[in-house]
Order: sequence, then structure tokens, then C-alpha cells
Amino acid sequence: MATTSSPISAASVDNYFHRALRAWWADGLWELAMAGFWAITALWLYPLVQTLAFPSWTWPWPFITKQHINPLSTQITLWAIGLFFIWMAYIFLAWLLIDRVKRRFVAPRLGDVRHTFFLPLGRGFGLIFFAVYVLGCVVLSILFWKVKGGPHLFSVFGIASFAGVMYLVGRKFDIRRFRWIAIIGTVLCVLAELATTNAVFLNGPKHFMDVSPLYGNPSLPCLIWVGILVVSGFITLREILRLPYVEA
Amino acid sequence: MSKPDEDYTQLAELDRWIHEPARLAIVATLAGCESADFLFLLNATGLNKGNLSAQAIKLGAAGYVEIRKEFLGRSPHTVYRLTEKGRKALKQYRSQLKRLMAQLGNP
Repeated sequence: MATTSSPISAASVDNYFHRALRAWWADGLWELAMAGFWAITALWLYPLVQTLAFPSWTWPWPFITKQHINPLSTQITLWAIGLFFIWMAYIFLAWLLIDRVKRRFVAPRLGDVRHTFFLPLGRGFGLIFFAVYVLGCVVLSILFWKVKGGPHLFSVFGIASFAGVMYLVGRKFDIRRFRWIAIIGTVLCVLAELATTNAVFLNGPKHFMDVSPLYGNPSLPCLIWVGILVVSGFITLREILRLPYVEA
Repeated sequence: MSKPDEDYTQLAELDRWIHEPARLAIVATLAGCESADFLFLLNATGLNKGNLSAQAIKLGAAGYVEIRKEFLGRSPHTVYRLTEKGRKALKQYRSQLKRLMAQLGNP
């Protein structure tokens, strides 16, 4: 361990503060947890968007009923609200799980650091994120509108929201792989959206890549995020687990 | 322009418990988390073991840091947490330092 007589000269006070916060993302566990989050979102949003977009679409097993009409608007609303509660429950459980795994596997190698549930990201962070998100939504909607004949709204929300988070966290806390994830993820998601075909409104989608020009298929970007996060999370975690136990 | 004695008073008002670089590094790191153990602080601050331990004890004596010693199996494990008093002191120190730096920027 290097001895530093005056660590303040090497880094500002903010750098020390950020270093403690950075530890939350440093080991790849958050990425694996976020992969789970996007997988749940993909599964939940698929029937919701198909129902909203296509009148002929029927719910998959076990939701098939004998009705020949679309689900009622209340059913659709409940399905949408349900996602919010599932998200909340998942985030809380994932936070507990990450904490346990960090303590068991990461702490003996890098040290034990506990964080509050709401991380102190700073006053301007939310504002900048909102601006990036809105800008991303506008740019991507215009692009899809021009090229695909529709804004692919739900897909655009999924791409812009997460790419914004990854890029800003990566920039603020100097986590280089997060910035790459944001860039690679955005490019892959946009290419995937451009590779979709426009489904016929009355017939409904023929396959996964046959999407509504208005809503898009948000499960597509969600699953791309899952893939990228799983790969990045496992690689990072594997590197950490290769480090030896340290006796302080 | 302020008087020389006022300027000196402002400088003297800086919290000496925090103004020392090693202690400032410890306090600033702990401000970013709920608690951290010795190994994490060692990696995050870049201090050596003896210095970290000694400065943390001083911060503990000032009531800025809570020190909890426990055993994980047979290994001793020390956990540090910034107290409310320490958090307030750091906040005040930052604003004092900002004010002084602003004055330096406009001589």
C-alpha cells in the first residue's frame, strides 16, 4: 500500500466522496441486478404493448379467456400499474441481495462498504438526466419516424432512459465500462429497431420483430440491455473474484 | 476589503479536526457511504495502516466517526461510520473552504 503524506493534493475532497459511492457499481453486481430488472420489464411489457397496439391480439396462456373482445381498459390499466409494484418489490429485494453478496464475496477482497438505499448522487444529477432523457427521446423518435414511419414510442423510452443513466453515472463516477455500455447499447437498440418490420394493424404482429410503428416493441431494447448487462456484470465480477482475500 | 484580523479569524475558524489531509480523506470517504471497514478505507484513502488507524481514532475522539470493533470468524474487523456531528462538520468545512477560495479568486 502506497503511503501518501498529503492525499488531498492528489485528489479533491469530492473524489473521496465519489470513491465511496463508486464502490456500489464497481463489482458488476448492480449490472446483474439491472439485467433481472430489464428481463422482468421485457416480459411484462410485451403483452401490454401488443394489447394496446393491435385489436386482434390475444393474451397468451394462461390469460386466454373465451372473450372475443379486447381486454377492458381497466384490465390494461391494472396490468400497467402492476409493473410499478413489481419494479418496487424487485428493486428492494435486489438491493438486499446485492448487499449480502457484496458482504460475502466482495468485502474480503476490496473492503466492506455499505450504502444507503437512496444514493446521494447530487442535486444536479436528476436534472441533467431528465434533460438527456428528453433529448434522447426526441432524437430517436424523429429518427424512427423518418425511417420506419412511426416513433416507436415505448422502445424509445426504454433506450433513452437507461442509456442516459449509464452514461451519466459512468461520467460522474469515472466508470469507463458504463459509458461504453451506454454507447454500445444505444447503437444495438437503434439497429434492432431499424431492423423491425411494420405490423399490419388489423392482423397483428406475425413475429417478435413485427412491431407497431407507433409503440414499437419495448421488449426488444429491454432484452438487448439484459444481454449487455449480463456479459458486463459477469466479466467484472469474475475479475473481482480472482483477487485474493486481504487481511487488513 | 475586509480587515486582516477578520481574514485571520476566518482561517482560524476552519475545523482543525477535519482540516488535516488524512482526516479529511477519511471523513470525505465516509460521507459517501453509510459505513466502511478498515480495508475499504485503506484502499480508498491511500493512507498507510498506521496513519489510517491513528487518524480514525482521533476522529473518533472528536465524535466525528463512530468506530465499531467486531470479529468475523477469528479475524478482527473494524467498521467506521460518520456520525451526524461529523457530517455537519464536513458540510460546514466545505462551505468555509468554498468561501475562502472564492475570496482568493477575487483578490
